[in-house]
Amino acid sequence: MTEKPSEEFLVMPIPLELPFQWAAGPYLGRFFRELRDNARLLANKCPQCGRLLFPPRQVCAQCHVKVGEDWVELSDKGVVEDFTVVVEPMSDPSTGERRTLPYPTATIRLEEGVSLIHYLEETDSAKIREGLKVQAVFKPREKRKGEMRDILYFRIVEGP
Amino acid sequence: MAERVAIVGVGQTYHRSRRPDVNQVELMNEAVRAALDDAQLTLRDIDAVVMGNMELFEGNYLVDMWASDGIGSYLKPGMKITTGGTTGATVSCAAFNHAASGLFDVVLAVAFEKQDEGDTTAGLNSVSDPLWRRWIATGAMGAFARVGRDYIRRTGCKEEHAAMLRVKADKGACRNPYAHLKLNLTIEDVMNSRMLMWPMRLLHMCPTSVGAAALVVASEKRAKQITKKPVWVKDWVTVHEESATTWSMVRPGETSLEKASRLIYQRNGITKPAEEIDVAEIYEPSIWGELAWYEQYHFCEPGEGWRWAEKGVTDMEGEFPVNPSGGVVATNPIGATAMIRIVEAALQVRGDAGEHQVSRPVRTAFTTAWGGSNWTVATLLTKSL
Ligand SMILES: [Zn+2]
Repeated sequence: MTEKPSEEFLVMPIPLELPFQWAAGPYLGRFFRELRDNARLLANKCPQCGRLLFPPRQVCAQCHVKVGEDWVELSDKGVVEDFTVVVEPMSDPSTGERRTLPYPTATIRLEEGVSLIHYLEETDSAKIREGLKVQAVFKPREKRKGEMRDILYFRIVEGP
Repeated sequence: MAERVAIVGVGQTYHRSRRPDVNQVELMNEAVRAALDDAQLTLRDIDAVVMGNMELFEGNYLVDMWASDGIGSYLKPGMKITTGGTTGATVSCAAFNHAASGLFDVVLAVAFEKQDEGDTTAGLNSVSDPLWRRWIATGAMGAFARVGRDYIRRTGCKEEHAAMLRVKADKGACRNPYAHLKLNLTIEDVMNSRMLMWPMRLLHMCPTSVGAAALVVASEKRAKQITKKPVWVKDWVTVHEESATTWSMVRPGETSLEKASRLIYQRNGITKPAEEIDVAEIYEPSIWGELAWYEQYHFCEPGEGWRWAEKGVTDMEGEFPVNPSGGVVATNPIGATAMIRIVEAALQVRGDAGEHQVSRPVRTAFTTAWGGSNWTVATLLTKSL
């Protein structure tokens, strides 16, 4: 039997671009408007279980009731609940742009007990610990667009 | 449940980083042929076909439109399912449901992923809530770095313990002909692999694999006609948590992993899982998931997982073997991965796992899958009814 020559396998490149536009809806929409116009963070409150919904939304997933317009302004201060420092090159999935390294992402529990994931200003992991007190730093008004990135990052204000 | 159901045939491909030698449909067909051969059936015996993958990893959103030749669904009923990391398990459960309903006697389940054809992390980030946190998404790596960090902080576990479990996984993979990464690892190799984001190292994460898996599922009456070694699917559950928008990786006791396993144990009278279950094939996209989740599955007490790693409890020859196949950290063709857990567990129940058959005699096997980051599928397979 003669040896078979190795076969050439073809691969078709697909450099696809797929633009989308997502409606925020009335509840999250109001949250983003307040963030853009007044640098304020809002949650709404479930009339049945009383918990704050953050991000604000129409229905409490646990009680299955309409949440409505019981709005609560949140403090822009909280504590670092957990964090990690990203050192691996990664793209922003919304824009495809490469993020600047290294950058820490953290779960931040605001004073009212609700949490969000955001960046920390401090990039030295040796200086970051769970329990650190942090405060939101907002972009200037003219740069704010009504999105989570209107918060630049959270700044350490005090050790635990 | 109307009908009892059994797995009567299993198949999978030899998982690799790249398979430019086959297209997606041909890849699925390899697993389908293997499962039909294993069951000693032909497509004529199949009443319905269920399939699935994570469509955004290949960029194709209705694979079932053109995969009918590869999966054998021509003129047959069926559906395609996508549920994230759980896809292969959800496809399996759909096949169990089809057979249990009494409407179909023999059902084929097929799952695949061809990760050499897209950008998985970009795809994975695109499943995050588009308005709230997609912009900051860091794929599975970021999520499991948090799990590792939290576990270390909470339990006093050291990085060595993750390395121990990674070496255990590699030993299994080296004995499993179908596994993707076979590295002959030492603890030092794992400890010295590249840091991605603390404490996550490259070797702590699953690879991006190409592969497919298939199951043939039958009703009780047909199962007994088809094979002398049916693997009974005693129970299967899926549990969802609240929206992933608000959900956190690191709140023990509040996860779908914990709830799904507790539910399936309760329904089947299992009070001491590690004693009453003989082998587990769990879904661990990172070795930190395996370490931190033993307690979520109620295998051990909270914080005891790293002590188990030290003692080798979950080794292939251990008292309670977990992932003798090498698990997800060795092989992760995403859409197929959760079905591979069921395929491997079925082989263990049959005693057909070959070189990676566990020492402990297997009457009962437990599998899990975890997907979309906030739901869990668990199954219980048994040797006898
Ligand atoms: Zn409520």
